[in-house]
Amino acid sequence: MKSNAPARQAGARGHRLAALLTDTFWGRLTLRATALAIVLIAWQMAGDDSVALLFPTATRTFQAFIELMADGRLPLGLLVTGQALLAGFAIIIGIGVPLGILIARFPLVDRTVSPYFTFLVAVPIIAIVPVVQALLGLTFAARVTVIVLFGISYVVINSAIAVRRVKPELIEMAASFGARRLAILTQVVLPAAVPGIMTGARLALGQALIGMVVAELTIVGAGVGSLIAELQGRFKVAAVLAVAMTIVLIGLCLLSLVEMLERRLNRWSLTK
Amino acid sequence: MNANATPAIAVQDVSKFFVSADGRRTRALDKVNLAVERGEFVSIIGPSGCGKTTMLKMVGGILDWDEGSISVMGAPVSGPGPERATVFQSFALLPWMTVLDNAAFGLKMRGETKAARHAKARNLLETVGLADFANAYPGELSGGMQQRVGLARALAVSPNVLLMDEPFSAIDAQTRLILQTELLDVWSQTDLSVLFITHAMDEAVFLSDRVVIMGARPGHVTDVIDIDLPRPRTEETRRDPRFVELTARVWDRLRGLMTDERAGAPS
Ligand SMILES: Nc1ncnc2c1ncn2[C@@H]1O[C@H](COP(=O)(O)OP(=O)(O)OP(=O)(O)O)[C@@H](O)[C@H]1O
Ligand SMILES: [Mg+2]
Repeated sequence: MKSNAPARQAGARGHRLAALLTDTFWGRLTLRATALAIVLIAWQMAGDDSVALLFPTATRTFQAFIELMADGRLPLGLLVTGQALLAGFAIIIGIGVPLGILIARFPLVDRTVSPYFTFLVAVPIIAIVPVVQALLGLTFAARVTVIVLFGISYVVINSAIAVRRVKPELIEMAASFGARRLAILTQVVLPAAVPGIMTGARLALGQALIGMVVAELTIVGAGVGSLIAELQGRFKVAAVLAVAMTIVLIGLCLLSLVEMLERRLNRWSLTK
Repeated sequence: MNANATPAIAVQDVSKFFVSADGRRTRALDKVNLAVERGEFVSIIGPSGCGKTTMLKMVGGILDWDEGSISVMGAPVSGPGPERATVFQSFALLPWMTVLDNAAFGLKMRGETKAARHAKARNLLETVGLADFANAYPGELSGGMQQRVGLARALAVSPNVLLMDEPFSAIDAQTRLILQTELLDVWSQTDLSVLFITHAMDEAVFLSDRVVIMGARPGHVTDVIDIDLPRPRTEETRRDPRFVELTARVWDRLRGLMTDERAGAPS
């Protein structure tokens, strides 16, 4: 390093700045904050607050947000909606991962249940929502079901692929040291499949978030969906936008949380 | 010494069939006989597909056979056992575990406590020269180093019999020569019996007390060549005229099998 020419050092400094921005947490935060600021300014200029029905500026939307937070309607709505998301995602992981493993290990399970999940991926789930509503009514269970339908196939399919891809020689190795089926599953197959399962979980979360909104807007729920419907009925455009944006932002936060977890758990699979 | 009466590995008239996807039964091994005496180093060499791996897996207890009998240390084989350990061609290390945990993996499967297995694994990492890499991950090591971990993992369970399936074939030629010498060093300090599969004739001759030559379609033993080179074997051994002569003899026997294979190929 010390023997480098000054010019090359300057170049290296430039590279290091770029690396700092993309490779460190605070660097990435700075990048994102800058991009956000640009978007907010553009929004502010595009908005028009002279008439309540026109596209609101960023500040009017933020005011609406504060009001909704202050009177407690938005937090309550988010809580109710969040419950459905949480329950749905828990079911997606809790059923999806074991099912994926079973599909990968037992051809009989594969042949009997796999087609349904292929179907779920291929078909627009929105088309099935009325069926769910007819079966379960305007209930919490109906909303959870929609969320599960949106997300579960991604976890099932990715888990199955991940388990199938586990190198047979690793399983043979464990068996040669006397490992039983259960030990092979917990010590070799599952850890080896974690990266694939995490990918499935991330994709499923994205889909579950869509499912959550769809459920809220079609199966009128007690959560943010009914809040939006009510605000829309009273032409509170800024408030509707505030609610929608809050949902989007929370969704983005959840997704990056899962992405972070995925990166942490997958460190070894990236080194080799 | 009754124990010395039985060989470390005894394979008697073993045949193995595989059923292919179209339902045809093909004979992979035909009445194979093989014995590895206690403390002996025996290599198997033979054309690709002649059933070497199949046989090693059967001795290791992770594959069934159809006819004949296999016993290890005097006891019939009915699955994997604590007296056997295998070293794999592809290393078969778990990439999410540290080198130390990989070396301790066999002991973990045998239910040893963390403290006990780490102590033993550390010891063996020392033996294979990887003490400083205990906390590294396999992905950070070269192939030669990874196979040293594989060897440490096998030795950690204190086996009587070491089964090695082309352990050095994925390793560069120079490192390979060094690993051969290291393996002999470790082996000479123990009473290990080794069954070693290889495609390299010089490797088979350099390491072994006997070289077993197998032919294909179906797999069978065609020759056993005694390697009467003195031990300890060193780099000098590789220049010994007798070494060259024995390697040539192995090639003579093998070449016959390879041309057989070529002639038989169209059928
Ligand atoms: N699970 C299996 N199902 C069907 N046939 C198999 C199976 N495993 C091995 N065989 C066949 O048995 C024969 C012996 O295979 P094996 O892997 O033991 O050969 P090998 O001597 O180890 O070859 P190589 O030198 O290439 O490693 C081959 O013809 C192979 O195609
Ligand atoms: Mg083989």
